[in-house]
Amino acid sequence: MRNLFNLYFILLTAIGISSCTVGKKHISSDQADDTANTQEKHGFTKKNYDSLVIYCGKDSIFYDSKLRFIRSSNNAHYCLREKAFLGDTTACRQIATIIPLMRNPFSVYDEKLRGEILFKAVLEKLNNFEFVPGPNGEMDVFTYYGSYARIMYQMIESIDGVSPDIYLPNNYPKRFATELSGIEPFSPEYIQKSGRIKWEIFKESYEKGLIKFKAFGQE
Amino acid sequence: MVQYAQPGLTKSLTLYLWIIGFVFCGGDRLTAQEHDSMARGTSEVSEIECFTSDYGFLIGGNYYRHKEQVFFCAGDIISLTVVDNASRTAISEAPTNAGSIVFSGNVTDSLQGDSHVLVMPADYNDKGKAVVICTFYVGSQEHQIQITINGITDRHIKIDKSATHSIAAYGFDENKYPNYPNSLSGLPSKLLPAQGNDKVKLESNLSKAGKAKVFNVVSLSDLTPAHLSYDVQGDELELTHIHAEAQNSFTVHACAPGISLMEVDIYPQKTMIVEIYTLCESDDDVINYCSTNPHLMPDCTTPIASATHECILPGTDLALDRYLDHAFWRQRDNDLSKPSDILDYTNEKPHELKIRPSYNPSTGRYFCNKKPQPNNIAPCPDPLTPGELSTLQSDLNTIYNQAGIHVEVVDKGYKHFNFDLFATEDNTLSFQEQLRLHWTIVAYQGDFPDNIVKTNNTIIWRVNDIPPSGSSVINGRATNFGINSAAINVTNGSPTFRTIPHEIGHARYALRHPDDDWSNEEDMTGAVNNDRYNIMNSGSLFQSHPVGSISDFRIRRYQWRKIQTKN
Repeated sequence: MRNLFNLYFILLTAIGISSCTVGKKHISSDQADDTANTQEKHGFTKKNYDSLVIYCGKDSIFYDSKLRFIRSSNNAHYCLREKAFLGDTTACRQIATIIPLMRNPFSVYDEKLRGEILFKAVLEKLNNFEFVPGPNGEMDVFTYYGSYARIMYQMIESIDGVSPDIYLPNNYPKRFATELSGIEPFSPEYIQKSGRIKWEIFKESYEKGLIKFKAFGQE
Repeated sequence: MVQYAQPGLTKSLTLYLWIIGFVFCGGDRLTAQEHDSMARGTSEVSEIECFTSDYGFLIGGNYYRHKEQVFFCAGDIISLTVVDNASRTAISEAPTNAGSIVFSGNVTDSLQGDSHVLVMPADYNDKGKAVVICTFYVGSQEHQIQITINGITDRHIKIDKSATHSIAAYGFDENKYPNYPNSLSGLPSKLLPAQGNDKVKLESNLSKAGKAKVFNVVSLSDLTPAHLSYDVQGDELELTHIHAEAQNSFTVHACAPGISLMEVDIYPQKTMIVEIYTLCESDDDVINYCSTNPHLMPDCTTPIASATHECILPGTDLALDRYLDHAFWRQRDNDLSKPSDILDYTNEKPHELKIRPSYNPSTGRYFCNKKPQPNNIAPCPDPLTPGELSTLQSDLNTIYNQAGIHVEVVDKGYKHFNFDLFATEDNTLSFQEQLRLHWTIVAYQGDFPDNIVKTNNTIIWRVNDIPPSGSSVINGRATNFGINSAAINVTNGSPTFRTIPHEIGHARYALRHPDDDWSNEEDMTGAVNNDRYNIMNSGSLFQSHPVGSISDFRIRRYQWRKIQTKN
């Protein structure tokens, strides 16, 4: 009877260990799969870590090896914008890096940008006079420049001593009169060409040192 | 020395097997069936007669019965005392005066006595739960009682994503769509107003009794962070913000930091004021000459004596009707034999068009040859009724309260206004006309059209008609992203309860359609074409997936963040 008991014990123990081990592997495997899926889904692979990661506090923005946006965590863009708005040079440079990588909309960077570093980035990004969709998909009203030019206006305290809303209308009529002559006002061609003229006025003003930027932190 | 009750070997083997089972695999998960089975006392172990219900356990001030399931967070220090149920006193004391007290099961007893101190889960071999057995003698009679201690896991407590929508007053995002920004954690998100409160529903894989125990334990002390306070009533968890400052993006944990329940954003409550104008084309230009003799001033006596005389005066809108329709203004309404009036304008400020008289050098006389646009050719929209106003206010609050925004709607009434810039389609608002209408109401501030000034209050124009886009009727249209005005087609369109909140999303908060590849938010990783409850979906999604009522629509987390920064 004692031997029978021992045999019974050994047999049952072996079965118990075996079944538990199989269960553990299964769970472990599931967890491993989940982890792999999560990494794949969010681009957290070593390859991606090797490309561009921008940190702000505890948050971060990831770009792949071709500098395509992958994912940002929680507050990253707002965090960067607020730091840059208050004059953090590193944050300004980081946003200046991000802006050329952006798809069409400026997203959170459509306001509260300050300083020369970011102005240059926005100016270059707005050198684009293709039509982009309006709120309801209209394709013949807003160029890329026309959609986002207000970001530049809002960064400037004055051009040659007056607000950009005064400087521009004082300076583009002469060019309009010659370069837009014969073009129907507000036709698509007119909208594109007038936008380019205004952009060039901004660029010339900047290169001549006529622009006084709003101070960091100034609403 | 444990003495097993007769018949001996069979039951001894069963108990041994049970202990072995627990040592090696017990407690990987607690199922409802397991819990119920133990509660009903139907397990094989319960057949051992020496287990008794006369004694129980005192843990953290609470009494637990023999065989009861209890729940604690990992890391909790659990001080456990075996007590007599009748007197609630420790068994080593009177009246029980028990002796030879030994703890066994999944714990190792280091000290003799009626109490045992444990730490979850280290004392339980990381299995997540364990049985504590206490064996003792009262006189010559041996007794055993047991209790099952479970470590709380994310299967025992989590947010009930679908049920939370029915009780939450503010935004809740179940985080189902990984293409949306801020979805990285996979956790649901909750918006909470600063110094305010709101509720979420909890769920669990446990039976009703087990759930109540877990939710109770958690409600008492195991939810973090500390700048929220927590209250659990049944399966409803109420969160109250008790910190001086609003914060966003922190995680609420149960059994901190073990179980992540949700992410919480806290924002101060804000107000949006929406002004509703029912627009009727006014055509309010006024003849500024003698209608019976256009050589003369309106007094029909004084000759027009200056080339800078204005033949037509604009009305209260300060601009001439159809000011972009130069062919119209060159018509010779008074005398076909005389020249057209002179159009004085610049391309930069076309709204400042002036109609000057022609001059005949041989006679030395000026002549005005144009009449203004006749008034109100097309019908005007009906005014907003008090019922419609009330429904609109309610609908807008249903949507924007989710983002922490209280909406006040002000009916500015019937407004006669000239917005016809091109042809004769009175009371029909084209896109160019809408842009210039906005520019007009901000008193032509800013450099048109690139830097139009946005309005403080949100402006909604109810108009008779908006021209179709191809074959599609336009029910509503924002003037542009972020400049805070929109038009609604109330007579010839079919606006629904969704139209105005949707257009305000574009107009005030610069939100975009999540289902448009060409236009979605910057930090989205692709269009989301299957979130039928997103208030900002394009109309095309709703044509194939109609949604029942305004309360079905959601503000997602990425949207409430943008809304809060732009309000």
